[in-house]
Amino acid sequence: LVGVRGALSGASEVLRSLLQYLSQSLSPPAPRPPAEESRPPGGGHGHKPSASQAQKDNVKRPTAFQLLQSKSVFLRKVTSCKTKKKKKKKTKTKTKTMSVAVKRTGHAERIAAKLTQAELVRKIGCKVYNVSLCFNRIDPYGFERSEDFDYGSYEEFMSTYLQILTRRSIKWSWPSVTAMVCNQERCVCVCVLPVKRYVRKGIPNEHRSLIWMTASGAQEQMEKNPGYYRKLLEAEHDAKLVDTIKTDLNRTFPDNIQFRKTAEPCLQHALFNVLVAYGHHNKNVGYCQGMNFITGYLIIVTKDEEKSFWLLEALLGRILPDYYTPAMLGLKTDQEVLGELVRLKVPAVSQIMVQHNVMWTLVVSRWFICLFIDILPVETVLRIWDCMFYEGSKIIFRVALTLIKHNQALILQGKNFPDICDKFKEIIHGAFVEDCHTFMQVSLFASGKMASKDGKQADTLGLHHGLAVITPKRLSMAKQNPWSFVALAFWRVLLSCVCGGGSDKQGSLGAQLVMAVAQKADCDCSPWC
Amino acid sequence: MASANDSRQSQKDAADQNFDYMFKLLIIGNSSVGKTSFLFRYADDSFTSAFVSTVGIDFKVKTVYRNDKRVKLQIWDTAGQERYRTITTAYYRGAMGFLLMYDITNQDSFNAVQDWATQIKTYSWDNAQVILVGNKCDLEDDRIIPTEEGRRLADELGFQFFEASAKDNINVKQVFERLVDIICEKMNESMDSDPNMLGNHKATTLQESPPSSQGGCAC
Repeated sequence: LVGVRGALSGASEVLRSLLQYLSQSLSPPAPRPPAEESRPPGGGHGHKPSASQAQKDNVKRPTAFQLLQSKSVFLRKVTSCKTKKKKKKKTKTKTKTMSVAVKRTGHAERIAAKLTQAELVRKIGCKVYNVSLCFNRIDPYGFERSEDFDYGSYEEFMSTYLQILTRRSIKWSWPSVTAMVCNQERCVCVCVLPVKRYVRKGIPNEHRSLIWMTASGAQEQMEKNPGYYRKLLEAEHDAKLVDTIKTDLNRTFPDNIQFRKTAEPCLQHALFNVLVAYGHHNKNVGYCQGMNFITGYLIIVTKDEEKSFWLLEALLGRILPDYYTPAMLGLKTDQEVLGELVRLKVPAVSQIMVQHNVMWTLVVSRWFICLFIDILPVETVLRIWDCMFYEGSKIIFRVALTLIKHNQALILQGKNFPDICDKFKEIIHGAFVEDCHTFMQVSLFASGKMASKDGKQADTLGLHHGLAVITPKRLSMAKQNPWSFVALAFWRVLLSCVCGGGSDKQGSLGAQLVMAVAQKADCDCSPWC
Repeated sequence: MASANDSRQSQKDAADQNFDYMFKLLIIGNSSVGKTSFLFRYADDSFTSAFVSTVGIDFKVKTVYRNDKRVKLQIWDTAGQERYRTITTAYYRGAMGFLLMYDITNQDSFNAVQDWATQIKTYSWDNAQVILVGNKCDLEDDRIIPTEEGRRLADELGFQFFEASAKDNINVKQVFERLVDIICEKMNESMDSDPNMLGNHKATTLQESPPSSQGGCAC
């Protein structure tokens, strides 16, 4: 094993050249323009000229935020959203893409047309977002806004985002859309229909719980194990685990009114139950700080203990394995993987990090541990999670890379070690991350292609940590696209071995993987075999 | 990687800023003993009971004047949960001083002190100075660990000892000042014993600290 490790540490260089080879052997993925324009006309409903006009109008309007609270303004927005649809229908014409998509859009429009404005507001607008809550001291999820919360820029953002939310809600209100996502285990049209695109554009809050449950497989688990959660709670509790969890109850979202002891119902109870149940369910993980925040968000969204439990199980067991186990190997590995990805994609930042000896764990560990909770704005986090439950953990890399790439110039201004760390704290604030919609579009489309075409969830799960066999098909995927799961998995295995702490099994698997890929890629691997 | 190049870089960093020394200090101890509160009280003079649990590691910078010298303190706040040690111990290297903290109302946190001391021994350099701090001394009614017991343990381990309260701002500043003082003493001692090292303070202590010290120890 020692030999293998030694070989592997030498392999890092070879691997780099290999990846470079892989990326050069094919034309680099064409940088896609920001998503809205690039969408196929059939499924699209992007910001056509009319939309940008509408945006302009919004900006010009007097912007006292109380104005937006008034129904009339909201009505106007809904109307503009509606007229835009009509205009678009004309321009759309008969471009034959996916007929289903066309049909669906038509359906959504028919719904919209049937409803009067008032009904629309009542039926959809209120459901979409409680407008009156937008500008409170407390946000719609119960979080208190900070003293320096910028209501002005938030209003500007919401004036366009409300339209998007309304539009999404109309789309999702077509019953078959949810059915389509939920049925994916039966493989109904999952490859044909743009489920991924739907999810990436944001799941309306009222559907979030259901879609997260089905997309992550939590629903299936819950149905397979009825009463399991209750049983865990009724069983005798491990006193030490209970103590550890209790320590953190008051330290989870003290800024959220739903988690205060005085709240009715107080979500601290639900939080405690879910964490205790999970600690007993997965004794290897038990309780790890950071899980309290994740569970807190799950409870806020699902408003249901049992669902939160199963979602947590899906996250920690499948989507992020080994993140919270005692050795935290998965977490450490993924941070190294990010470091490698930055080296490939944003070399200047990577260089400055090396130059000043800044370890990636220092600046990004909270991003990974808390999955951006308390790092990015709530709405943005939820949008990230939408994709994470459907597509897997690669979203974390995408978001992290986007943050770093977008703020490259700022980070490079860092003059010394503490300065660079401060820059990393700066980049998680501001308009870029507040505007969750644009942020997600940039994260998902502008940072180059990462997913393989058949990037089904199964692949993400199976290839996490690269504990997978290199098949010719996967190899060709890796060749085509260094961003694919294979390449990612590849890094994970290699780094978890090189970083040390990898088990024997991982060590030999890593070696196998490296050799297999190197051989099939006609790359000389003698220096480290 | 930790070559002369790095040293030069660190020196340059140090030269950019207005200070004579830079000390890297770490606050360690069990979960919820009040490490973050302690740091916030010292660095920002603020206290709130609404802190969230610390995950991972973070630091704050504060400059103090001690013995006519401007000392820049880089104070690291660490997650207390045992599991996070796999991350936090990587930052022990190059630390000049430690605040090892326990909660006077919590027996477990006191029992763990020995264990934390071992961690310091294992992962930091020999000359690191340690102060044992019994926090939350405002909660006299809930006290479980008598002052004498804390002092006895500190003596045993060869650490300085303080009881303090971040909430009531008792002894917070004193603890840090004391730590800075003993680090300075230690530094002067080692410089006296090795005359070759005199002349350039910054370079001196830099070489003393382990090579890959996060570039932060341009003391």
